[in-house]
Amino acid sequence: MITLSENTLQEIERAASKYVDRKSALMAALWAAQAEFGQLSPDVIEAVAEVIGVSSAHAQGLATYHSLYWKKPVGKYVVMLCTNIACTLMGAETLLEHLEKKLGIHEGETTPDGMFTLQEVECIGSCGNAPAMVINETFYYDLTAEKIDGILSGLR
Amino acid sequence: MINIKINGIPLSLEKPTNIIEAAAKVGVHVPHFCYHKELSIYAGCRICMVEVKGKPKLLPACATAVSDGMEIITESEKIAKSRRGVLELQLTHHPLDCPVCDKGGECSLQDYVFRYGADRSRFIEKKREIPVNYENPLIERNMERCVSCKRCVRICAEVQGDWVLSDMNRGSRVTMESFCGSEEECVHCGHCLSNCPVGAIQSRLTKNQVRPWFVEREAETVCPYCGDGCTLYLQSRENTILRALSDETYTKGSNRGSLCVRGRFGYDFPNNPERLKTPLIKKNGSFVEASWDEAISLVAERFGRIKSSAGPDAIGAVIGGRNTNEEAYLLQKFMRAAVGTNNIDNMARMGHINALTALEDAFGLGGMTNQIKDIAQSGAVLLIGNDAAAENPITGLAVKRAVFKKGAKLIVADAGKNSMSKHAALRLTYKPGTHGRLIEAMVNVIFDEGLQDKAVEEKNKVLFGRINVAYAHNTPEKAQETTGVPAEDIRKAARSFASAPAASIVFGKGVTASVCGYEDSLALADLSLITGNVGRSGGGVNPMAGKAGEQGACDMGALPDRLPGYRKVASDEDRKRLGSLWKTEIPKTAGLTVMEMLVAAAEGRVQALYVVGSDPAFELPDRKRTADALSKTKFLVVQDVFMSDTAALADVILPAATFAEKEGTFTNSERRVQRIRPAMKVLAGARPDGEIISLISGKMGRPMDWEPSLVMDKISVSTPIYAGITYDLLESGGVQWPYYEEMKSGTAILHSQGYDDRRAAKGEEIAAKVAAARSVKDDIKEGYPFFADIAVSLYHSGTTTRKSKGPNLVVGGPFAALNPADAKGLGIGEGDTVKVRSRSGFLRLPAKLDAGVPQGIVHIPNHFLGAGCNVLTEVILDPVNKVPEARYWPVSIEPEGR
Ligand code: SF4
Ligand code: SF4
Ligand code: SF4
Ligand code: FES
Ligand code: FES
Repeated sequence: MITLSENTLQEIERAASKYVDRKSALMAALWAAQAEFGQLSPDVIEAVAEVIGVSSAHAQGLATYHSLYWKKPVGKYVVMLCTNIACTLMGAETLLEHLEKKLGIHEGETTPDGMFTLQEVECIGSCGNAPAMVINETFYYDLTAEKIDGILSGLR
Repeated sequence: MINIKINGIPLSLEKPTNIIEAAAKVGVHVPHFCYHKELSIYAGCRICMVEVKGKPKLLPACATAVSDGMEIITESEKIAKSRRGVLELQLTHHPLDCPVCDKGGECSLQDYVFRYGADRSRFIEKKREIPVNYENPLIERNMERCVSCKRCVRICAEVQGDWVLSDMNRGSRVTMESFCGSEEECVHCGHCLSNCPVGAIQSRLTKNQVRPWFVEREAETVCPYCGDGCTLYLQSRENTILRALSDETYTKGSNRGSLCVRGRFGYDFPNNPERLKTPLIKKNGSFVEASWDEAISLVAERFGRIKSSAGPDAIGAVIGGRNTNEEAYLLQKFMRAAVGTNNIDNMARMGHINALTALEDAFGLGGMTNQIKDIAQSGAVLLIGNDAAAENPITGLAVKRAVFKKGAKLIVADAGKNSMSKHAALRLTYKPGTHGRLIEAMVNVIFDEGLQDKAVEEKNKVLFGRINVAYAHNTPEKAQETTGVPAEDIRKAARSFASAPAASIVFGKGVTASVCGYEDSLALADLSLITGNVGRSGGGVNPMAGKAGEQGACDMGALPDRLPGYRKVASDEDRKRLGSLWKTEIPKTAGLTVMEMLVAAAEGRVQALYVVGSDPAFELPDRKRTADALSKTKFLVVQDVFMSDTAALADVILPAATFAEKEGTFTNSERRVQRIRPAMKVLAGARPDGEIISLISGKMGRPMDWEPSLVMDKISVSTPIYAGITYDLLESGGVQWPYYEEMKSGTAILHSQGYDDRRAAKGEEIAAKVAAARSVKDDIKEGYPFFADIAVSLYHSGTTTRKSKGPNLVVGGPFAALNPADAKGLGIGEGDTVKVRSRSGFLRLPAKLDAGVPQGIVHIPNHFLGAGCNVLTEVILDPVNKVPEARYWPVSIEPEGR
């Protein structure tokens, strides 16, 4: 089994101290572990479950539910393009094709240089500025193919 | 009072409930997938929507509480349309493979689709393809059929307390799975299986073999394995058991809908082709088939001859833990009235008897003080010398429930592996045989820190004073030296136990099957008493019987010094009373315990033995000595369902019927008398034990009725604690003795009106004898640095489970489990062969590494043919009840490589 770093453990304890029942800190704990390992592989999940005091299955259930927990390794930048209704009406599907061509990967994949992972996501709450996407924790609005090209080259 | 109307039918309710339950009360079924009354409300499936007058939208019946004046409609066109919609969504993915699904005929999805006619979905998506998970040897999981109700997830977490399953992924991709799909953590209880409304979780044992309409016969009966005595249903066809089911109402007996793997999957041994089917008589060293007439005549004639030549005391009988109360009663009556001896004993001699006599001496009645389900009310539980999750899993569930639902502090004290440890607030690992010092030190701390129950003390000053003095010598520091448990942990345990509003004690063979088993059971009684837990709900002293029939055999007087109902052979009055009922004179001298009978057999004082439903050659310590004694017996009769080590030595073998073929009652650990009922005809050639005993008795000139309900009528007259108990009364769920006719009720909790302390001060004489017996064992330790923990596996019970397919698929053979650190020290790897050696013999076993086994211990499940742990043990008896030390034995471990 993997051991979590002192830092991560502290982070988890800080989160746990906010709740009456430490099990409530499971999400925060997974998040902290993901920050350390870049992903939530089964052994990371197991280690978190042990620290929080829930079964590994329970922790895995939560990890697989939320799309922001990576169950496999991702690139440095995770491009999450919304393809829910408003964005699709505003042309998100063409943008997805554009991104796939531009990065040379399919949705759900990571570029060989480990820079970008492309992911389709549901509504990110920016319908007013559709189409929209999130890269890591930054939002980008009113997208066009050209705008995307600019954003990506800015990150390279 | 809540007055409501359901589909126009008026209903008055005392207590609030949800609409599904309310509707059920007037016979209206509201469709549901995710609702289950034993589980938390999830309200995720939306098939239960109903109309409530005055509400604009449909409401979920499972999650809506009824309130006064509510008018509810459960079927209408609007509701049907909504349900059709839900079903259509389900059918987007469901494979509709009913023709090859074993759930067909009892599947909620099938029923509802049939009812609402949504036989296809307008959603045209590619159906999901998910491979069936076959990781589990007993259970298959087919997630294509799953309706995402999460009942499996919730029951595994909330009832079984194991959280093995979770809902993985989301939306249409969701599946109910264990961690990474591996079934390692699963304990095969089958709760998830019995609770799945569709065919997503199924038994692999009955795959493509059982459809509900195949079932010809169903019997409500009791599991034959452990002392929890679970209610279960056996379904059969053409005299073959098809499957075992749990109680769907979740209300009956001690288990109320739960079962463990043994009960749910260990049901097929009655149909095992190895069953004994004809009487066998040994002629010139080999067995020859005989007719019943011939066999019975021979037994009666030889018993008669030995009786007249050597006296009645030259004959002895032993009954095991698999027989019914009626059979135990008949056997002891046969021995006392027809043969004329008190040489009758039962296999509770292997431990449980120590708890019963100690409790009788401490409080006046020899039985578990509380109820299994009542343990769930505890604020603290001391689980000592009993791996509840493996040995008596339903009691284990009650303990877990106390922890999860009541926040109870669980103290697990054990010398060996204990699978309840993961739920423990405190785990105390003592050196084998020192549990008594640990208990005494807890009592010591409680008096020292003034934590005893002051109100109870006020009423029992003398008794409290005496207990205080008796334990004053054993401080936690002293106990730390002997037990190896840190003094501070002992203090913590004592404080948690004493400060809980109600604290219960659950214990088993780890305490009772030792030379100090009686003494230490008394110490537990004292611990409960001084903390005011006797007679209290959620408290009490609760010994676990190992087998289904153990408690009952004791109750029935299958004991050398006790008559039915624990009346004493030594008492003229008790003997006279029973003698006048039986119209005979009861022999005056106490008989021999089973261990003493063997000694007497070896010395020629006992010449005939009648062994019913047990296998002393496998179960009793010192295999060689036991086998020698049995072979020296001039005439050995074995009555059993399978060939056994003992039967192989017999002169006559009488083939008996299993629990699945007969009527009768079992009394479980919590004193609950419950009926068993036949699910199939008696196997051709075999006979029920009661009939066999009565045939022999009749031949010897003492005819006895053996028809079980008539025997129970006799029991209720001759056995005071069973007074008033009849088969009619036991129709469903059973009754806990003593039964009070005036109140029409059994007794859930003993001694709530006070107790009757019958013992003199802790006898110094006993203490000295115990110390002597202990030192014999200490001598044996020289050169044998480990202790063998001769254990019970969750997957087996005694030896009958050997003959059932299911349990063997999970654990099919013996092994020696070691702590990884010990294994490393000895250079032993997983699967290596090790020689476990004691002073008297050795076993060769495959090694298993298990961090749950404490260092210095080697854990060996004692169930397997050719791997009986009694090759390791010798006979050392507890001085009070002659219980052999049989749980921990000094051994050495030698690696033998691959
Ligand atoms: S069989 Fe029991 S332990 Fe195993 S997954 Fe099902 S409910 Fe959980
Ligand atoms: S497997 Fe069965 S019980 Fe579990 S969620 Fe699916 S349908 Fe419900
Ligand atoms: S073995 Fe014990 S706990 Fe398991 S089903 Fe049978 S009686 Fe119940
Ligand atoms: S639909 Fe894309 S942000 Fe809401
Ligand atoms: S039964 Fe009510 S929502 Fe599932």
